[in-house]
Amino acid sequence: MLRTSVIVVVSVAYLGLLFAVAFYGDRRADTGRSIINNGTVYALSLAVYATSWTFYGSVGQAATEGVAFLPVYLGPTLMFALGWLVLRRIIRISRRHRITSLADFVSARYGKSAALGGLVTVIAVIGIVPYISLQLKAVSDTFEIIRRYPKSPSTPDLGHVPLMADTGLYAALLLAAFTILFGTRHLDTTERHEGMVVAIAFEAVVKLVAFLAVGVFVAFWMFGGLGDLFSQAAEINLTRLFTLRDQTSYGEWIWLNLLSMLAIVLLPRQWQMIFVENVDEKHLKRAMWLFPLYMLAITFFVLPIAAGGLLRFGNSVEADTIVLALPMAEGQQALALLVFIGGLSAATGMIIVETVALSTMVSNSLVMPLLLRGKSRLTHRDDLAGLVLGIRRVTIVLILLLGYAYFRLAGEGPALVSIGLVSFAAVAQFGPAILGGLFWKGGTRQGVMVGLLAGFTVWVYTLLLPNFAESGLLPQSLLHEGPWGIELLRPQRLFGLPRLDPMSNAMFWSMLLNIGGYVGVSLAGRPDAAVRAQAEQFVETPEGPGRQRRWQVRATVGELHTLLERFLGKDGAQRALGAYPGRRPDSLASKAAPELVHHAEAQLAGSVGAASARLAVDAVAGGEQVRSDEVMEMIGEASERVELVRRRLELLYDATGGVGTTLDVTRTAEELAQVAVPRFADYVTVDLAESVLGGDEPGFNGTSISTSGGSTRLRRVAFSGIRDDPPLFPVGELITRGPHSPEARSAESGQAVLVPRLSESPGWQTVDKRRASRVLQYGIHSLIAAPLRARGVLLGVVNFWRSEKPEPYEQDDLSLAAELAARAAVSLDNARRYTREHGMAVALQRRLLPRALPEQNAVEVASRYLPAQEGVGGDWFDVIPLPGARVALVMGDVVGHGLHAAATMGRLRTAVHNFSSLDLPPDELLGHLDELIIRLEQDAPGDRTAIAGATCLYAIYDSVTRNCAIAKAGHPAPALARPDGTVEFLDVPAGQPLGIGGLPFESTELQLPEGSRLVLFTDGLVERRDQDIDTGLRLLSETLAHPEHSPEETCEAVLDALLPELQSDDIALLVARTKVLGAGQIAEWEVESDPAAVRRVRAAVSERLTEWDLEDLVETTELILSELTTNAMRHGAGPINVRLIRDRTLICEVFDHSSTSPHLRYAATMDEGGRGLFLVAQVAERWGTRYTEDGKVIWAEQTVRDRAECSDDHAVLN
Amino acid sequence: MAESQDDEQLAGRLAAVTALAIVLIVPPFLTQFDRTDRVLGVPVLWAYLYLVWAMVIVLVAVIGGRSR
Repeated sequence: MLRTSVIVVVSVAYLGLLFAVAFYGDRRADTGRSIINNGTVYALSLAVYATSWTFYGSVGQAATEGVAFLPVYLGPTLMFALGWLVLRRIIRISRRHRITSLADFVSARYGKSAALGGLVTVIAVIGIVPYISLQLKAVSDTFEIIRRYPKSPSTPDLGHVPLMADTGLYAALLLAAFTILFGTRHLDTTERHEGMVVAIAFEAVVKLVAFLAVGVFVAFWMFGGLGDLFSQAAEINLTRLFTLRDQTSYGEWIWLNLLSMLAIVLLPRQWQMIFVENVDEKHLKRAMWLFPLYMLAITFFVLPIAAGGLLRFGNSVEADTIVLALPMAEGQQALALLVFIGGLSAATGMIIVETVALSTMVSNSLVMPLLLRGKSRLTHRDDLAGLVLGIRRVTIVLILLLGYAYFRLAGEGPALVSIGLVSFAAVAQFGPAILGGLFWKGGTRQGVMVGLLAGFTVWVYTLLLPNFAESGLLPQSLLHEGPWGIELLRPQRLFGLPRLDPMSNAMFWSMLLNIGGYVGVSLAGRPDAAVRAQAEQFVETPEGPGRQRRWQVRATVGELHTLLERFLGKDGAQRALGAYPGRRPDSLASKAAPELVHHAEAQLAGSVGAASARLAVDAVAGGEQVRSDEVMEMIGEASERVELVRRRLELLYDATGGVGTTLDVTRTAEELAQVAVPRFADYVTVDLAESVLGGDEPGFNGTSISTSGGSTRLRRVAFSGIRDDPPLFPVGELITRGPHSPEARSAESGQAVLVPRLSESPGWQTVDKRRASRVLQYGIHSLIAAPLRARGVLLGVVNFWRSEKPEPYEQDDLSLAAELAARAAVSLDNARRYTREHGMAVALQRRLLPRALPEQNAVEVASRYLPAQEGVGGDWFDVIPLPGARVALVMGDVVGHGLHAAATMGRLRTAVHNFSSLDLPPDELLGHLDELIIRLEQDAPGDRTAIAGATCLYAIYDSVTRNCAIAKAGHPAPALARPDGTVEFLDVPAGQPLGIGGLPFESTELQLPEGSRLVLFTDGLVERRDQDIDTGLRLLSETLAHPEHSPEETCEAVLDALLPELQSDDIALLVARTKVLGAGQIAEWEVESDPAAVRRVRAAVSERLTEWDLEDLVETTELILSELTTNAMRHGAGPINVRLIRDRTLICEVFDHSSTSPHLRYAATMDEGGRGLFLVAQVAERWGTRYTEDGKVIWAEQTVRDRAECSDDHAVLN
Repeated sequence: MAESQDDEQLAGRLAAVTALAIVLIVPPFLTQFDRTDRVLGVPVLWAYLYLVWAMVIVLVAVIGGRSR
């Protein structure tokens, strides 16, 4: 028989022991020989996690659901395995920021927000009170059960204990006393409670021993070991306890694991024990395995005890009380008492730590910020420490009474487990804010606020209300039919998601809204400076001491000291200031260094929370104290400035690479405009002097930037902006600005000019008043005009405009703008100079090349010349009509590009023209050309720009004989496309390039069918960097295989097929289609060396001319022929040939076999001979001699007049 | 610097242990052992979970103990 009195005495004695242990712990701490500085004690103190829920409730749960009770202990094991990653981080941050509670942590992380701290506190209190009441219920129930020993306990009569006889009430009051005594002994900056920790560690051992004792008793005393126990259980069909699938969904299993992972960190008592009471983070290393091991041990016999209970009692005993009922039923008094003490121990430990943690939160995060708000007189009260402690003590009592009230009202209903899980789910709502805040910088205060509120609301609706309903506080219909009968809103089946048990349902919806709200609102907004600064400190690896400086503090050392004294008491203040690592202040009246102020605030934060400490320091340090958010703003600004400088360097770097990629003036100006948008300016415009665009220097040609009177005239060349439609001057506009405009001033001074506010700049507005007001209306408000100045020459002005960024340009921006402009100006000047030089070379070459090909009938020609993109080159070609219905085709190439190549080309072309007038055969002509070049080089020895070499091809086509003579000097062989479609590259002896000397050149002669196309080209056409020359030649010959193409079409086709995208060499192309003079246009006679023969020929000629309708030329032709044949007879050697060709002109040719050259002589009056050639020269248009292999030809040309002209002449004569 | 490297290594190994533990205590591994049979007289699932649990504890202890 256990007397009630015995039970009470033992219970009180146990609590007394607890007091003693706690007292001893505190004493040891005070004397500096702490016993909690030990990893094992730390790990044991964490066992406050195992409450009466573990002690009684898990067996109850195992009796109905079997193995499903395990997640509550597996989850923490997982979280502790992650301890080094997550928990140690929080420990470090908490230590550095003197964070003393969960609410404090959330508040500090999100910019020391008092509102957030308050919200977290409220949620925590509401979430935890049922949990506390659960402990009181356990104490009360077990007391009733054990008091009635040996009567078997039955549930119904437990509910009817009168208030005054209820142990729960006395337990609550007793625990309040203990907590107040050891939890609020004094106000300490670290908020540690050594005595309490020692007591909890002691309790942990007691409940473990008690539970293991029952376990061993059941398994090995009542049954023959675990095997026997389980096989007996299997026999009565208890195998459902051995599995999960029959009892619990895997979804719920996973949710419960997750929930417990969060709960082990986020339950206020766990937070208190893991982070606040932690002395050394090294202890965590032991706790990481020791604490899970403790849980493994304490839960090991849960399933065996449950099975034993069911075997012993069936369903006659409430499952939650099996642990106690078994030893009672077996008549083990002492064991039953031990179990009761173990359960009591589990309950009291939880209640003590939980209330301490909650009271700290309530006082620091809820009540003090409210009291300190508005800098009330409170801050000037002397004994604030007493006030804080008072608040905590009252809170402790209130929370315990609240818990008791809840137990009295609702405690009869649900099992222990479900109440505990409800609390777990409540604190899990802090998960996103805290874990997110540890690893993600983007969270905002608003995001946390929304997420927390949403998650909490769902929690209330889906877990707390059903809990009330099950306890009978609310109608049951709420659960089954939904509020107002709306089934979709049934709390445990919200929106009717299928296959979700109530817990998964609640967790899914609350976490969805919580995380969704947190992340969504955070992403929508932007953390302000205060939150950013804190995020930086929380998320970055928390190593080394924190640096957080308050600027502009005007507190004296004395004032700070008084403030600390008010909160911490005399000794506390002394200790706090003594812990300051910096130089001790000289006197109380001296100004406190910012570091000291920060130190004081940190010390205070340990006692009253971060938000309160900040408010208190602000309040006491004087009226003109900078507000905390302003301080954060300042810190933010400083880091922003560093960032700004970095961005500027980056911009300059980009400008160096991005401006001046081409040698085009306009393109360079556009690049300048683009590189600065949007990083430096919202709009950029570039205005240049008109002459710059043509490559000339401004000031040259009278196109100066500045006109008389100091105004400027510039053309807008480039624009770039974040939008395309600002009412600035459009590109292409010529803008004249007055001398007071910023642009003119910057052009005048050579310095960048800053116009912070355009609306206050009359000089700018006078340029175009209407446009100026439109620009202002458009939102453009600030301007920097920077001169584009390079090599001492002002090229133009660049304008940087700002509209979207609200802040005006500052002095700092000016140097960046000037630097940007200076760099761009060099690129612009380079482009300008190149433009000028390129233009000159192109003009020169154009002038040197034939503008129109001469008229002739021997061939039909088409030509192309394409200068290289990088500059002009030395390619040239020519078509030179030769006497005798012949034509010379020339194609040449001077090695190299640029002006020198072009100039040399010009000289060679002229030389070829001159030599061709001597009517030299191709090989001889090239020989002369070669000599000429060698001579030219000798003229300029050592000149770098001397000719590096040239190639040339010279061909003469005779349209009478269809004969073609070709010679070349190192030039690509021409292509011949015959009328039958065959194409070949003519096999002409290669010859050396010109200017080398040595071997003579050789001519090749060949007969061309009528309509053959002779294609002359330079190597630029077929050679390129990316392609083999044979490929080019093959392509060319394929393109030429179209006999129907005219020369013009051939040129088109060839260029289409062969023109490279990037032309690196210049290209010349000449296509000549041969024609043949008809037989009717030629007459030929052989003349013997006999004067009579001359007469005969004259008659025949006269006859033929009449046939050709050239009667008017009969006389002169007869004259020419007789003179020339006579000469030939006199000086030359027979036989003599006479030929008449009727082409554009009438050509008379006399051939003989001598090679003596005729001379034009001015015969003296008395000379008989010697007048022949003189006469011929008078009558003929042109005359000349050419040499053939076996003699010479003397020829004369006469113009053929139109028929109409002839008849006019006759009319006049008549 | 050396300390933080060691730390990182330790944290990484422990995270790996955690991942392993998670894999072992959720389906599909869990399902494999979710049977009514008994092994050595005790329920399979019960034995399995405690075995995994003990293994995790030992691993954490060994890994934590080996780093200074």
